[in-house]
Amino acid sequence: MTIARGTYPATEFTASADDVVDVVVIGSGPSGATVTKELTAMGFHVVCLEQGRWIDTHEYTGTRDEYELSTYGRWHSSSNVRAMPEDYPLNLADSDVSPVMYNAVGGGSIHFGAYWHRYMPSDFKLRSLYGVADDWPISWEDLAPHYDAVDKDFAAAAMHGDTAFPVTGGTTLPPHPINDYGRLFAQGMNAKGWHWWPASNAIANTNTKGLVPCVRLGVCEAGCPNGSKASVDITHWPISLKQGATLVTGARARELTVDKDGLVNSAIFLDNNGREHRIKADLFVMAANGIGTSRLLQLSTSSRFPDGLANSSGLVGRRLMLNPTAMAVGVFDQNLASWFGPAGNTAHSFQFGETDASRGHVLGASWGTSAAGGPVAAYSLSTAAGGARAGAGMMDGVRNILGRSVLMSICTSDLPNENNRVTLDPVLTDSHGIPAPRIEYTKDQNSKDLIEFHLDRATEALEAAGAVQVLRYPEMPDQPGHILGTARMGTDPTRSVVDGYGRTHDVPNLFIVDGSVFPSVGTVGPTNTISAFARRTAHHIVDHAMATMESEIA
Amino acid sequence: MDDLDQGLSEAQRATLHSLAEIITPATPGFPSAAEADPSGAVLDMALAELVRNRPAIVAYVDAVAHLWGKGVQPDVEGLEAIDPAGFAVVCDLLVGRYLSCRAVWRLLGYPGRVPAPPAQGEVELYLRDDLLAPVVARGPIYTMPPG
Repeated sequence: MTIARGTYPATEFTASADDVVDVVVIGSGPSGATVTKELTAMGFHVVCLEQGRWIDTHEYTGTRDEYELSTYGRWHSSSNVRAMPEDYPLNLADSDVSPVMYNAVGGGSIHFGAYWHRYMPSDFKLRSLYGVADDWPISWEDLAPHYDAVDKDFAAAAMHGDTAFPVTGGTTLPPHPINDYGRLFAQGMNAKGWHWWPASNAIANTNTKGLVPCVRLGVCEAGCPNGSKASVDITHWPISLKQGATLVTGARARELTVDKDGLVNSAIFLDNNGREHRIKADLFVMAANGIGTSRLLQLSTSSRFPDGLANSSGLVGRRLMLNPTAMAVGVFDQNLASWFGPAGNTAHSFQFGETDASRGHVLGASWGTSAAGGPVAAYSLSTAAGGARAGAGMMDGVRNILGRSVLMSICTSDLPNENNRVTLDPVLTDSHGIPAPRIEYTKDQNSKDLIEFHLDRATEALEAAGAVQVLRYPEMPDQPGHILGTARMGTDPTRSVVDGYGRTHDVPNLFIVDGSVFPSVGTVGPTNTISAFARRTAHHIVDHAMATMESEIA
Repeated sequence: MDDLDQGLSEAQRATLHSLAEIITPATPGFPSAAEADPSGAVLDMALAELVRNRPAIVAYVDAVAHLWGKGVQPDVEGLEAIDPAGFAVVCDLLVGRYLSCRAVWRLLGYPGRVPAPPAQGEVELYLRDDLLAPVVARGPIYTMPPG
């Protein structure tokens, strides 16, 4: 074997024609990192291809004066705005929502807020319970032990006993303080008689997993300069590398090739000099998010798979779900130091998290309150609500909001719709000339009704807490990076792409472990569920390998 | 930091400074942009961070300079009417610059992003007076699917 262990750029990658590794993983975000960690622990040689690079915590701007400005530029959540060479552009001309992602070692965990919560049990059975969307072929109970395990791997900090969820045996760190603004949020919810709870965050409050305790900078979504947020470049990859993984950076996968039996036999990738490489493996795992995975599958056409790999159902790229997110901001008379983190959420509510048909729509939303940011964020909130952009009026808007606000994000579920989809753009390409994704996504009437209902209820809660003004944002300016549903799991190969373990129906040695596989979506950030699913798949792969080996020995 | 000279000429920088005095003027208790950032260092920082917006900024600045050259001196509303999208981009730059000045932070009462590790007992402090008790008393609110 000439493929070296460890981490290095693709320009240094070498492999002989005879090299065949156990597993190739495409993407080093939470799902790819979880699969790699679990498989390397069992002795598999895993090679992960990551198109981005390693980022040092000192590159994050959170403690520097330019921080808020940098979120408009090189730390913007949109890859179209950042336009870094390792990003790929998205054609969003026909999308109501701008999906966000990050391309680096750690993937989306570099940019996520690290609000860390499980789906509700009912989220897995929407068809059976409410007659909408589709059931998952697995249940909440199937994921429960893996939820418990990934809580530990991601240094989850939580208060046990949340009445919105079944009690489990998971052990987590203690919760973070809910801060003054979280207490006001809670008082408003209590006044209405509604559920709330201190939120769970994948943010350390002790030294663990390579992390150090959070100091509440409130900058989580542009990378934690303190090294407290559980981005997997810190929590997972060092462990996997010690266990023998290979992590190739600057490696942009262009195609998966198949052999005469229809099995994937290699991944072709390009390095930063545009040089092409090929790596062979027994097993391939896609972990490139709901856009990147469907893009690569659609790029991987052959005589056997003319419509793209694993796409006999025609569903690869379809049923894109993005959790459209709204926001209500309550403005109060007193100073709440509402710039304190984490961001993450400090407190949340699932009072309206499930379907209640009497509301005139289906599905639900979760609410969370988090750091509202500094002066530039206050300016953005003010102008997005119609405030002045310049002059004395601009300063009035900033002073009205800064430090005195309770920011409540409203993360809604959305229904799968086959017309919401990812395809290959006929014109737009990435820096290597590979076709870029084109996103078609329209918020349906249910989503609009859902958002309106929740904004009304959130306004009531904030007013009950004493808000002197409530600003309403049907579209939160900074949408979350929840990219889900484009390779759904199911039991029927004509109506789904993968089975309940993420194995594609069409290609037995190809698995998908990112959010593409979700048949329906919950009302919280999906990273916890994605990671639990990826861990379950990794254990299935190990179990299958062990059974095969025992069978051969017998 | 980028080579700013490649993005803006001296004349364009002068126009931008003049625009800053209109978009972020002195207001009661607060300095003007020039007073808050006398060296222009924060403006340079803002231009570097918003480098992707440089073409839009330059186009808008040139349009304003053209008007000023003809002796037209629009107010804020008039500046927006020239090119609303360009005006928004320039406001983001100049307001972002102004609100990133430490002198302005101090006057706003904003401490900046400084470490504030939670004190012992701070979790419980915010939950005092049995804040969670009514939630616990109502019991579980989730639906458990059958089977």
